[in-house]
Amino acid sequence: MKLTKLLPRLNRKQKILRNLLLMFLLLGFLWLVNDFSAPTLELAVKWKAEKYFLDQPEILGVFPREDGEDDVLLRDENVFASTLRRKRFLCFQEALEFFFAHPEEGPVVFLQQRDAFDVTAVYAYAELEGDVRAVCDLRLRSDIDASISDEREYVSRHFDWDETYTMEGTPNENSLYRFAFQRKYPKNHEVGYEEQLWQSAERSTLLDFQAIPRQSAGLDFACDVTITFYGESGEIIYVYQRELWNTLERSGES
Amino acid sequence: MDWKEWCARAVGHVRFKPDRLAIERELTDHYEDHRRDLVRIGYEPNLASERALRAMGDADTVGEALDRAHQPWLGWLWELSRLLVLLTALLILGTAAFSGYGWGSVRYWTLFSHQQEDPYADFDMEELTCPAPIRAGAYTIAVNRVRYWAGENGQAYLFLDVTCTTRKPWLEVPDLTSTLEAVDSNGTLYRYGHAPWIIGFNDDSHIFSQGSITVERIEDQPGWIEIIHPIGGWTFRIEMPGKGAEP
Repeated sequence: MKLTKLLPRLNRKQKILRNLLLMFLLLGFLWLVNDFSAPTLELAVKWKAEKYFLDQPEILGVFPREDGEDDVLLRDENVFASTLRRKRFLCFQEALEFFFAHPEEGPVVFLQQRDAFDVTAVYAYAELEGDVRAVCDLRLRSDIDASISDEREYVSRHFDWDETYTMEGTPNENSLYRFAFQRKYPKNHEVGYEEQLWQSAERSTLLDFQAIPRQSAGLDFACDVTITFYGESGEIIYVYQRELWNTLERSGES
Repeated sequence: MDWKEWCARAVGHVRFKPDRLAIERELTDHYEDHRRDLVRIGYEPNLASERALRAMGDADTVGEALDRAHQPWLGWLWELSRLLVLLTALLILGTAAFSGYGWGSVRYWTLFSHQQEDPYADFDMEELTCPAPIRAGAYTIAVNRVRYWAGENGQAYLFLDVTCTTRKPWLEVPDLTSTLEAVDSNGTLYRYGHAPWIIGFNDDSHIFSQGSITVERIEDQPGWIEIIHPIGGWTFRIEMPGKGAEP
């Protein structure tokens, strides 16, 4: 017996109602299989913020990354955080876990981007008057043993890493600065082992840097940030300094 | 007027054209059934056709009635509803086919997550009184079990079984991993990442999640420990054994 004969015979109005009901059920399933993602960035951030008990998150800036994802910087009163916007099928998008900035007493908040595969920028929110540009000095120190091996050779070297990355930025309409990060030893497999060791050491140091917001940067690593804010005529308006992490001394003791 | 002419005239009144073919088929079935019945009881085929056609009535009257039953707006709405169902079904298939995450990332089977095993089942621990559940934001957070374990080195540990629920299925349950702090009656602060520690565990499922909070390396027998979510502003106070709870 055909299934259709077992089902009640519906008139056209009933069929319309049935189809609309079915459509809403399928839309619900579609939303479910898209992991309850939000249709807009604002909603995605708001829903994620509820997870952290933040009521009114305000997006300070959205900056694209090379991999098609976007850095999203936000604040909710005195709480500042960064997240990553990931686009999914159709218009669905999600905001990943928040990285919270360290609470600050002064007018400047330093923000790290939510980690993905690489460090491409750091951010700062500044509630200053008359600032038009800023220079960020990010000093990374680390105690690293880097090694490379292949079928023919094994090369290793110890690094007392101490590099300062200087970046310049201008504020957006929400007083948010983006400082584009440039590696000193960009990835390149065409160069010799010695240069690759430097790349590896830098990569390892940056991984520690990325782990600071998770409070898991580990031992043998220190990070200091200095941001100097300048006015229109080049005068210094404010200098922000912070030690984000330091376990070099602790590791020395052990 | 023969059957074909009658039928064309009646159906011509129906403004919703997509229905015309089905109506014509149904009218023809009805006419043919009647004609066959007449032939079976002894009517000549031509006479049977004539009588069956006459029994169908006036083509214009029937057509107008059919038009009223098959109103265009209702017809188009029905077609639209079918199209929407089809489109939604295709979008679901598209999610699986084109999403870089595929079905594997779909968490509908973790809408209600449960911690599978009790990692401290073998420990001989003291059960403490659970604090009352709290409402925080969109969530209800309940401590279902509090256990206390005093180590031989004078350091103690506190284990809490926690459930988080929300009525909004699109929200993930709160992150307890790195967002909690604790303070005890001696003023000792417990944080994530540095000893003395507090660490939570729960996944990012929706609606319901069962997780745990652990406070480690408690010293000097505090009277109570308060577990704090600094951003959310909610706290749980656990009265500790030993010195006795302070007010």
